[in-house]
Amino acid sequence: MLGSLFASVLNIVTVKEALSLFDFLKYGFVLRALFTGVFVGTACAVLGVFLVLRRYALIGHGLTHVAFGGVAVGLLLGGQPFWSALIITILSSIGILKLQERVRIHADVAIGVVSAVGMATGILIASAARGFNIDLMSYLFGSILTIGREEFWASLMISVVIVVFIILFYHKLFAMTFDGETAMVMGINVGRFNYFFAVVTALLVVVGMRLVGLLLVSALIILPAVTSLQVSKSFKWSLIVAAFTAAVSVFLGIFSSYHLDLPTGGTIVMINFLLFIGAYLVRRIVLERNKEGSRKRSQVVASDY
Amino acid sequence: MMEKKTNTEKVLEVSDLSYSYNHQTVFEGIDFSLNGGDYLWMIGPNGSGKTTLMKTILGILTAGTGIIRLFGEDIDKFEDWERIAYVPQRLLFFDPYFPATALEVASMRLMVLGGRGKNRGNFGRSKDERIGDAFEKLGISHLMNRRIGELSGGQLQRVILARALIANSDIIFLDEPTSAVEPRVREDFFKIIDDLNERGSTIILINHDISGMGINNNKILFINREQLFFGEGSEFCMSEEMSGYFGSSQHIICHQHLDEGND
Repeated sequence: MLGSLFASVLNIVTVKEALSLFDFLKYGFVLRALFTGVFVGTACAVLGVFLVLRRYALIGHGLTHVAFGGVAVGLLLGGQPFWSALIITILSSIGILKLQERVRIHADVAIGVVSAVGMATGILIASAARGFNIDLMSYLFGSILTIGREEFWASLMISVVIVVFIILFYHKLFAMTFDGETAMVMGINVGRFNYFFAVVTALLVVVGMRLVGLLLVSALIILPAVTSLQVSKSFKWSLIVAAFTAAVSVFLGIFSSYHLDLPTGGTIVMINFLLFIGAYLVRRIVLERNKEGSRKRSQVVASDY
Repeated sequence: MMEKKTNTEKVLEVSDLSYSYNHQTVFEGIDFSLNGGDYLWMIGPNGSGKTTLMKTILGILTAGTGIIRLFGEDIDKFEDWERIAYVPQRLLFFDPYFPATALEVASMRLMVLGGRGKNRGNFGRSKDERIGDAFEKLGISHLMNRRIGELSGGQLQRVILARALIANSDIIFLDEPTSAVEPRVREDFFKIIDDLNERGSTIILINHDISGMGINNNKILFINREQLFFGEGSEFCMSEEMSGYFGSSQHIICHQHLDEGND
């Protein structure tokens, strides 16, 4: 598989042949998948930076379990499982927030509880509907290459709205992510923004699940963010690098999965992982260089406590 | 010694304030008010509730009983946040991996509150100039583009102080702003704070460390779960509560006060 790709690369004689690698872009469904993937991936990545920093990294994972339950309910009731999944996931996301605030348990525990219940609900309902069917499986694993027109525009719009919101309220969101209490003294309504994060994350999870599947949507929330945090020095850049990482991983993922005949979702996540490793190595190399530099510098200049 | 300008505007009124957590009283019976230009020093032993009291006054925590008024407005309805600046205790910002430069952190408040309210001391300068000035005053200009996780504790405290300074706010709340900072720099900090106070800002300060602080024109709030003293520093010097808290350092502070009075 990989060998044939290597072979075809090595056999390139003309530019035309090189460009033929990108022939897959002429297919409408591939282009739609590419657009949706890049838009949704970017929204996930940017949101993911905030979630990871606020110690909510696993909320995507937890909500995918809940969404699975919601999809099962939807399929049982007939019609589009999207809406039932959406409502149930949003309610659960707010529930996790409330559990954390009122009952004072930690975020990871709240997520664990709600996600286990959500998943169990899905399994029970699926067995009541006489076993897992193909539809349910496609929500589990995603099918980025078979996206319908409605879902295409819906996911594009939602992603744009999320990113625009984050840009509009950038300074307030930065302030409350850095230190919630001081943000309150700046007049920021932290409680209201927490609701926003809960609802938007749920929205993105349900939209994302159609792309890379429930099992992998949490990866798009966590991995680009963590990759970005390895190399980003400023908050502004941490968002930009995360978005870029997600977009690149989606493009490369669709590219490789097309040529190597691999499941797209899994490929995208593995590429994310490779990018993370790359970022980690870059950070280590830079750290080593800095240590060299400061060792030389401190011999010359008195350090400033 | 320079005459301090105080006006009669009540910038803060606290009445019968209490706060409990898990059925434990953290503080109660807090009752005092401050005029514009006052310099309040909140002191008390560890666990006396000082930080909780400050957070309650700021609206971060909700009081059990009592009333809080900022500039005459009830804290629940208060909206003029550009008039308040807050320097929290160092423990809060401890994540060494947080992706933000010193510049981003220091400009946070300015960016959130924009150009609202009085642009006192602005003199038409741009945001960048104001930020640059504050960094220079605190000796951290060279740290502007460093990640905050790479800064030492003292450097980070200076960044947080710069954030409050850039504001030119009417009241500045500070909770142990010099805990990680060395004595010489502490003096610089308090000179800056004194300077702001002389220009009319009200200061509310929690500070354990008494070195470099004279009672001067300060008001004192001494609490230990309940309010034990509120009044002028000079009165406090004569009180019993004082020797109980300060021990042998009492005479240092009070002498400092007396010395200045003799200028």
